Amino acid sequence: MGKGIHMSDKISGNDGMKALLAEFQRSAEDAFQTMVFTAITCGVPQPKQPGFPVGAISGTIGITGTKFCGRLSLVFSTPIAEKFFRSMMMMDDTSPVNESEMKDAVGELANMVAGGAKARLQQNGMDFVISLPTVVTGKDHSLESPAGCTTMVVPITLFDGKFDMEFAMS
Amino acid sequence: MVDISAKAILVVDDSSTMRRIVINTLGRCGFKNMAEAGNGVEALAKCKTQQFDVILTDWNMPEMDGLTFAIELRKMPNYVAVPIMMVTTEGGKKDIIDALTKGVTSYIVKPFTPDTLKAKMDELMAKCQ
Repeated sequence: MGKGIHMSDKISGNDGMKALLAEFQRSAEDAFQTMVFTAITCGVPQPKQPGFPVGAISGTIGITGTKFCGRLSLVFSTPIAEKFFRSMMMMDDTSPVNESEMKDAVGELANMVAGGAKARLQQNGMDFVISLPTVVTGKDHSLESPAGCTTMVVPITLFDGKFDMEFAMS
Repeated sequence: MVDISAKAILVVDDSSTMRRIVINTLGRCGFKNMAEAGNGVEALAKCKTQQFDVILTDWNMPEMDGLTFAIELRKMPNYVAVPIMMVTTEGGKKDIIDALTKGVTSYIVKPFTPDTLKAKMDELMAKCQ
């Protein structure tokens, strides 16, 4: 087996969270490089603070497994979401963006990040089920941390801006 | 040599974005006859009224998921041998083996590049000959 988290590992505490989060970060890097045709840079994960981060559009995937449960969310501002959507759809910089399609793309990217992490973790004997994506829109909204979960936030640089990846685990 | 422009392709995905990406990529590869459906129920209804030569389906979808759709499709006599490609984020070995034993012909894991999709389609079209 390679490096990373393994089936025999107890998924708890900071180390367990960090190991899981690393797989989701790698999956996010892969998804953006392949589908959005641009590299992202993940910053240092921080514990989520109430009311932060804020965004205008967020995509969430629920995660249910025997070793852990939680959720993954990608939280974007409108300008960054529009920019990645145009890149993903190979549109030019001035093309108008359909909000409904952009919401769909945010959900689909969250789905790819969670699905990619699932595949990576399955290689190490860890299985979980992912939900269909849900997308929330609204100026300056923030997501509640699920009850009983520890939530970490990873700031991610994309183009000339940033978005956030939230990972909650219990 | 297969005339791919004449082949009828059905793209099934609840994500309009993914349907657009797949259809655009296939269009650039030379496919011209493409239809789309948003879930397995819609796709089954289309397959009852039209004969497709290749099916590309997502796995996780509301109403009816891609695996259930593939299983139901294989019960239709005119779809017993039609190639089905699963386009999915469910890239774990266990999931893939499960799908292949239940009637799926091939698979591609999201995220994928246009070149990867083209290569997978070339493989699938070779099976259509």
